[in-house]
Amino acid sequence: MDPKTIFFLGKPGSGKGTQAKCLAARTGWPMYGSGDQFRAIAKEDTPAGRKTRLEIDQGLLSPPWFVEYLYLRIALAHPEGESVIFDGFNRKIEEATLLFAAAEYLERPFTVINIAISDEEVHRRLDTRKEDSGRADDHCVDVRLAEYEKYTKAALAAFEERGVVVAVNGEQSQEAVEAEIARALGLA
Amino acid sequence: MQSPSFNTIILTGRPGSGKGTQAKRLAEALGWVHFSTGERFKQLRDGEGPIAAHVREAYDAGELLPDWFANYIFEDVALSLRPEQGIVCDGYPRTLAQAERFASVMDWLERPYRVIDLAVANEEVTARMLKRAEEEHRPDSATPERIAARLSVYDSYTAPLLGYFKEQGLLTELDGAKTPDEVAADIRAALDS
Repeated sequence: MDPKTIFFLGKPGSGKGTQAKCLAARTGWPMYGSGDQFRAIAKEDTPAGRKTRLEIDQGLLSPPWFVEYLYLRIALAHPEGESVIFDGFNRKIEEATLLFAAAEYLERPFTVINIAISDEEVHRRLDTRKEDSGRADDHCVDVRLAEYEKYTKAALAAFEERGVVVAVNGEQSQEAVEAEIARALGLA
Repeated sequence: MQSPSFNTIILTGRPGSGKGTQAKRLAEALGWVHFSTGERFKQLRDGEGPIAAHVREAYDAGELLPDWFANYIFEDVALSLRPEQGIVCDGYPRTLAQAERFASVMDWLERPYRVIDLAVANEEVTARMLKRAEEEHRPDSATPERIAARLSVYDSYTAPLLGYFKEQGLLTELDGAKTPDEVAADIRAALDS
């Protein structure tokens, strides 16, 4: 099997983080989440750390170049011939453009798994999650949905145009979503 | 030499203008980090895998790296700097798009910067590069045709970024055709003013 490069996309609360972890557990491939990376940096007492913490607390995405930097730092060091999973790094059109350019340079085509759910479902899930998640940005659901509408829909369209998207129904159980993803990737 | 109120200096100029030599010398004088993208480019070129192959293609043709890659190489260094660490950089940015990215990164990191351009005419840098090619065995500058290609790339892609920095009052233009010692003295004078 050629090494796979898998990205996840979906609205806040769509389960992309969970599904990325499930896929990593099933396959043993490393998984890199942009949210995890941001949150780790936000804990650092460095200029980048302090700046990132401010942005997370306000429920905003960091400047486009920062998330691109985080992605390239991983992608350029990742061993050739080994599969990898990314959750994030693909939420704006500029990021999509970068991914296409890097994929060509690295000679690594990629797949984007889009976990589709409705806005109502987003609210339902995050109203429940925010009590326990420990994530300050779960309290900014409307801001994050607006960001998705403004930025991520365009990125998704770019990926769809290139034919790299696998669409999955996110409004089913976690296990059912996981099974659908595994089938789509030829793993089950 | 007094330490300036900014902590980042970019040296720009045509290939063969002496920016690498002066950047290294300035960094040593100031006790700052020196970052040369040209040297990094050469390291990558000597590696293996698809990236190295792409880099070799660009290097051998006298072309620039893609903006996204040049930006990343710089960010990798810039983001690891402590606020009190100064840096002198030569060879980045090389396009207007890179210059705009550079400005965003510096703004985000709260690092004030200055740009010093070493102006040297095509004829002079061509003569210098032919001489240097002999001394250092550098295939990219070995022939007048290849040198002309690099200079053409400079004129098309890099020269416009000087206007970008000049508009913001961040550019100092110096005569790079003088001797290295004279240029170094001019740079110090420009930074002290």
